[in-house]
Amino acid sequence: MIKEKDTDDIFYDDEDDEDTLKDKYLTFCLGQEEYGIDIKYVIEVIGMQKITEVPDVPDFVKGVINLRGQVIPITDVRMRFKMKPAEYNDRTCVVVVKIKDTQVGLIVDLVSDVIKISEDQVQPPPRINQKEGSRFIQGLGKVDDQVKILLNIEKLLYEEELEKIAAYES
Amino acid sequence: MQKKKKQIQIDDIILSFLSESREMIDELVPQIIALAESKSSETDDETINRIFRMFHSIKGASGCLQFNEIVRVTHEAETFLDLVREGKAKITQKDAELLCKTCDIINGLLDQIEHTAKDTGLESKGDDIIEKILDRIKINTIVIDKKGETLKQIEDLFIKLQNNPSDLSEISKIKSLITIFKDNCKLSGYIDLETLCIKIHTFISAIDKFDDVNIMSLLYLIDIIKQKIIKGGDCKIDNLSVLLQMLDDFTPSSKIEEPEKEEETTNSYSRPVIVQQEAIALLREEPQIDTNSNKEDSVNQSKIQLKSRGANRQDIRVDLSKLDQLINLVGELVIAESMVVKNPDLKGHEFENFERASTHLNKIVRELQDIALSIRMIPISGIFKRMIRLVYDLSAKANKKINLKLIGEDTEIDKTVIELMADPLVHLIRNAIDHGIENLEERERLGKSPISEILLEAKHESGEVWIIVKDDGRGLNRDKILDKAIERGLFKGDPSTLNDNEIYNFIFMPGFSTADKITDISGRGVGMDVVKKNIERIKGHIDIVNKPGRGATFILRIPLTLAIIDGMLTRVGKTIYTIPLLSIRESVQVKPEQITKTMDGQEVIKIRGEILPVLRLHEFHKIPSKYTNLNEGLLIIVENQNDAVCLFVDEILGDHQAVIKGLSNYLGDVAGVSGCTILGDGEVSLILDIGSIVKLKAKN
Repeated sequence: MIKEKDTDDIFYDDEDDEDTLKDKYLTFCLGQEEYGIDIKYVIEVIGMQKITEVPDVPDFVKGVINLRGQVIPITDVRMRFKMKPAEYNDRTCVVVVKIKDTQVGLIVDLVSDVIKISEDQVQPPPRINQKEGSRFIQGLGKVDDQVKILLNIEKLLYEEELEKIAAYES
Repeated sequence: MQKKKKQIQIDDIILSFLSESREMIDELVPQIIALAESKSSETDDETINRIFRMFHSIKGASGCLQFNEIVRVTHEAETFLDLVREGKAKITQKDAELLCKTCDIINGLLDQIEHTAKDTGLESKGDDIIEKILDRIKINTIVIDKKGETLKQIEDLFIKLQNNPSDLSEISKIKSLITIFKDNCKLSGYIDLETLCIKIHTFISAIDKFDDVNIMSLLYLIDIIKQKIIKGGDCKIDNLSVLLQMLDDFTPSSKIEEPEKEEETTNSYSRPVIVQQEAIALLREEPQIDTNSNKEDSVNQSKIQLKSRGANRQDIRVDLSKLDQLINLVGELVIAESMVVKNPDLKGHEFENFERASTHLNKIVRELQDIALSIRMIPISGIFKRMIRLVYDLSAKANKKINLKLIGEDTEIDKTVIELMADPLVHLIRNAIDHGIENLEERERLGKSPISEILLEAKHESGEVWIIVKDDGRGLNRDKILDKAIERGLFKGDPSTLNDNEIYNFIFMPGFSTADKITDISGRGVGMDVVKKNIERIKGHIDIVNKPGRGATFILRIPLTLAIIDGMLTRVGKTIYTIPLLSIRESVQVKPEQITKTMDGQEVIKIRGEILPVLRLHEFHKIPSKYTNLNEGLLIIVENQNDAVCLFVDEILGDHQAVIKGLSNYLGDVAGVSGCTILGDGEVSLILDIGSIVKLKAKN
């Protein structure tokens, strides 16, 4: 579990942090596949909590939770990928990430590991299928004989969201 | 990394320089105005010194940071103030305006620094003001020169008289010269010389025959005056009473009464001449002489308050985000405390000591919460002080005499609320001055006092803060507003269905103005729109009390803080909503016969003669609910700005002090939800935005 750092510390120790965090990925599972997200975005990993539903948002936004006094929105990654929703159980985790000063929780089946994948082991995403889901892929990381799907968090959270909200409203 | 740190430090310095300078200017302006308006000379010294010091501090600080433009401007202001300090000049209304403008320019430069980190780009304005100040300094020296000249003329005439005592033809000329001189002295603030001149004038009028003794003593007095003028300084005459006594002794007693009257007439006659000569707005100074003591009082009052606050209050500068963190933490503590005390594991057990300890904990936590919230509260005086300047400027521009009365400057309001209050107040006061208050002729015709009064009051009233802007002008013109509203197509239908309040509310529509012509103060119909928008943003209300012919009162009712509301917890299915208690009128259970469904599916209920639309929250937010029949659940009647709507919910759970938290930016705007709060059990509850819900329903 990664502890939240004091903002000041992050500021001054940026360069050091960048070295230690470089090429490190937090991996998690959705179904059979393993996915990775750049660890510099990850604030912490928490267990499933009671979610308060929020109306008037895209369906993959499940609602908000209370994270020690902070109210943060929760997104179901499965639904974001248009995969079949899974029942939440005691292995279901919420990965709290921070992007552009906004914290968002990502619901995943389970968190597996923190691994290092050096740049030369990452391949660009396949170009065959540019449909739903694959546009969130940043690259494919090779670890031993496995392949981890590395995700572009920013796209995952923000891309086309506006369109979707617009579509929802109309 | 080292470099980064250094950069931060410099930024910090500039930031604190900016906020300090701004604070100083906010403090400075009322002082300048107080100085221009005050009459007594004793309090002045200290005020002048204070003003001087503040300009000097700004100059010094800008010098250190190499903001040369600010240095340049403040330097000239200092030069002028130096003259005042040495008693060579007295601050008139014009000078006060000049100094206020200087402050404006410094403010402009500070803004510039904030955006571009440089104080360049406003040189032309700086040049302009510097030129004006230099002109002013020149005028001052001219006044002194002129005095010398006038004195010389008087002296010459006396010598002529001495040679030919029977020729009284020049006496009137002497008298008018002395009057001119006397007024000049007054302008420069030489009170002693002024008194002496008045006495001399009376004396000359009183005696009918000029002998050597008379003339010699007069010449002696003129000589004293001359020396004092040349010497400069405050021209205090040490043995003034002796000299005055001497003149009194010479004056034939029987005639003292009469000539004084004469003196008055000459006085009022010769004043306009001076006005032209010196081009200094004596006219505006005149009303102040007979200004009721009220004004003096209020000025003095605020002065006393300024001083006492300076003495008793010690402030420290804290980063607002740290405060927010603290308040958040305390909020969490409150939640954590209730999670411990109401822990489900404790159910069914009785722990006497635990009970006692938890009560104690509860007390401390509540107290801590109160204090944490009060930290964000700052007195409203900062904004009120800015209004002094505004009224001062506008009254000069509109040529109206206005006495601004401030009450309750110490009232404390949440900082974020205060920031949003500044614009509405400016617009309300502008409107009051431009539209509300009649011009001088009209006031005279109506038999009103020429000095109009604007009252600015802040007070706590039933959990809200009321800010009252009241003028004694003509009030709102109901018919004119209605005509304009119909003309502009803001209202269609039968005007007789509207009540007064609804009509007055038209003035808040964007672009609405009853002004026949646009002045540079107001009339474009933007201001009141801003007032309404800002007040709505802080969840406030505006009440208008209108007394045609006697003035209008705007009451801004705003919540004490944006951080906490009293909320009613209601449940719909599994969802718990918080409804702000302030917007709830009542909750009712209805019988089936009270419900009517219109053909487009809108349900309305009839309650005590009123017909209100129903909003089913579960349908609105597409969530399951326990009840679907209106007569099974509860209807909560909520209102916003005179419109009311019934919200259909399953049940009421009780009330709750809700610490308001924003919904994440990530979610964007959620219809009908203004934020959220964390309940005692750690669950998140959405706070309903009654304003938008009511508006939504009212529109349909």
